[in-house]
Amino acid sequence: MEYLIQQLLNALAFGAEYALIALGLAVVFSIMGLVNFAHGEVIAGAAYAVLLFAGLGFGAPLLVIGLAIAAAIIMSVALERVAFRPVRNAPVTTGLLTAFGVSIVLQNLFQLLVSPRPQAFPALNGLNVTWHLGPWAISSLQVMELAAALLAMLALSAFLGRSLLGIAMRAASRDFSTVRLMGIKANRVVAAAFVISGALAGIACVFILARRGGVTPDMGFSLVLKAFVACVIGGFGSLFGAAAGGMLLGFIEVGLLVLLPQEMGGLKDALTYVIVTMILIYRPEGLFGTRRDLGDKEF
Amino acid sequence: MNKMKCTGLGLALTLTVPGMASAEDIRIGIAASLTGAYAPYAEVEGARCMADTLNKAGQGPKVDILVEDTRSEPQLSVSIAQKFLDQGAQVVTGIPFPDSLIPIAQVAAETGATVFSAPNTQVEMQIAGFENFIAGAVPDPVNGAATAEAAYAAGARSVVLFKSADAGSWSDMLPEWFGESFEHLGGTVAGRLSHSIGTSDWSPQIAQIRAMQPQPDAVMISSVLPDVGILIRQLRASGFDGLVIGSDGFDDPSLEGTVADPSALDKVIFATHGPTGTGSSIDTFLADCKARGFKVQGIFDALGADMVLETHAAAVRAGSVDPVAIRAALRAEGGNPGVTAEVISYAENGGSPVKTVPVIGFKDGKRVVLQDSIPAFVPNWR
Repeated sequence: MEYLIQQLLNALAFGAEYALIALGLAVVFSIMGLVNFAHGEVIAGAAYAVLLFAGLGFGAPLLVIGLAIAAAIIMSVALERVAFRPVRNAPVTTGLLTAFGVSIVLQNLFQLLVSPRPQAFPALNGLNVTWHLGPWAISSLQVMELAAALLAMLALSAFLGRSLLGIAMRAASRDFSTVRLMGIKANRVVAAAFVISGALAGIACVFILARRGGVTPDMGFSLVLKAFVACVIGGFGSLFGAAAGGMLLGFIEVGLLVLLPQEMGGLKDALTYVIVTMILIYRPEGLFGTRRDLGDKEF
Repeated sequence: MNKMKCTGLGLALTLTVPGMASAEDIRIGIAASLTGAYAPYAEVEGARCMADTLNKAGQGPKVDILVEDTRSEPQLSVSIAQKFLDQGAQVVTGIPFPDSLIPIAQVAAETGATVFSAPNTQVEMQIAGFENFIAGAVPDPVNGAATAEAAYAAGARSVVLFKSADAGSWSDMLPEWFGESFEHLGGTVAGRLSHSIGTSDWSPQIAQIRAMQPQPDAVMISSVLPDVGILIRQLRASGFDGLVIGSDGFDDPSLEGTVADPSALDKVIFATHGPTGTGSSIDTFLADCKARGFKVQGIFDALGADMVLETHAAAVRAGSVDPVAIRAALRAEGGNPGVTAEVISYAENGGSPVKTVPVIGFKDGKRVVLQDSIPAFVPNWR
């Protein structure tokens, strides 16, 4: 029983990380219909930025946290301005390809301009303390990440439900043209989405850095792929769905890791996707997505 | 009109005669992973540095290093290697995995060239048995056997193996070869756990270890940084005080920084291809390269330098830059000089070197060489 509760806590922590990144993807998707695969490189870019600042003597943990979030916001908004705005009115597939392209370009730049090898960054290691509560070992990082994911969810809900810009963003996710006809500037709404997404990437970056103690060019890429799966499970466009999908994916991964016999360990990823596929067969629009009318494509 | 003809002629010469290489030069074509997933394991800068050293010394034939980026794509590496072969390369290399090296060995056989993969440790290329293939590093079973000897000597009697299919036999079978050697010495494999390359939270596996009765003396894993650095930190934070045993994936300058706490490294050991960070001759070589502007990083650059130095010595020994004569001299009795070992011999095994395997440990956070020998027992992997 103790063991099961311990693994349950671990699954919550895995899920919280995926949820935090999935929220960043979902915010942009809900406004622009863009799956921003370069979100992982925003995380990596923020990590390299704080590595640079730490090299210049700005390595105090609180400063690093602030710098990571600021760097991620700046990078996210810059990418929107340079890479995504020119293709805003293009088909969805163009945006998807652009995001992939930006992701690859940035990863290559990190490899060629900094190093393809890991760069140690222990400045945030102090955030990761293990608390022993009875028979359970809980990482402070696990608790903080779960709290951050919940707070981000609540703050986003409050912002989207109560602030004028938030309401404009929600309206834009439904009908962008009408929102513009009502005098709200499209660039402002989109930029706000990228600011929020960047801030979430910066927060995720802090937790990833504290856990890994190092920076690598691909540090965000595989996590964003998992966050993408989380968004699909939860229903793309739904913020709550993205968070719930992230949590569910965390539980599936830890569950398979624990339950599968070692000789079947190589099947973990395959079985994860089998479960994801089964969920999508049951709910093609995701657990919390809204059903789209497919017209003559319906069965 | 004459000016146009001259420009055209110049352009044609530029395209058909790359660089200023002559027929008496050694050309080593490196289809290198400068970008992509395998970029951390590129040997290019070390190879370039050694070529520069040899060319400045002026002894023997000039070494010309040809480099193009594969983007870590095996198919592209084959096309690039073919291009190097067309340019007369006597030695070519690709991504250090069979899906790149097997097709390159097949096309290189037509010109007599040698495929020399400096960082290759996986046994698949040795089992495939290409006559023109040479690996710069000892095979994984030898690496696993060396760490097993050191772990047993350090007092470990039971071990949990961490396995992953993500990096082929290196991450999946190397722990098993370690386990086989460990059991041969009298130890016990207490369990096996799965992981993925890229893991940044080891809590589920650590909970599995904590649930074991009795607790194992050691864990063994063949994986990369920063994953293994995180594992060491999390294991120590959970109260696990046993040995953490690793492979050459641990041998990166970022290990100490990622773990941060020097005391957490006290019971970490790993086998590698040459001692780095211990004030060895490899460190001197790498420091000299860095001072001369080459962006060398660590042991894989030293292996790249091995490839160039051995090939050059073989050409001098053969008195020829003919590719087949170079390979015969590479495999001749007595071996050739290297950077990661004084002498590297292929006379015994053909495709893999006979070298001592250094096992590195830590004292007060500093690397120390625990042993540097050829393991007495190696599992039968052939």
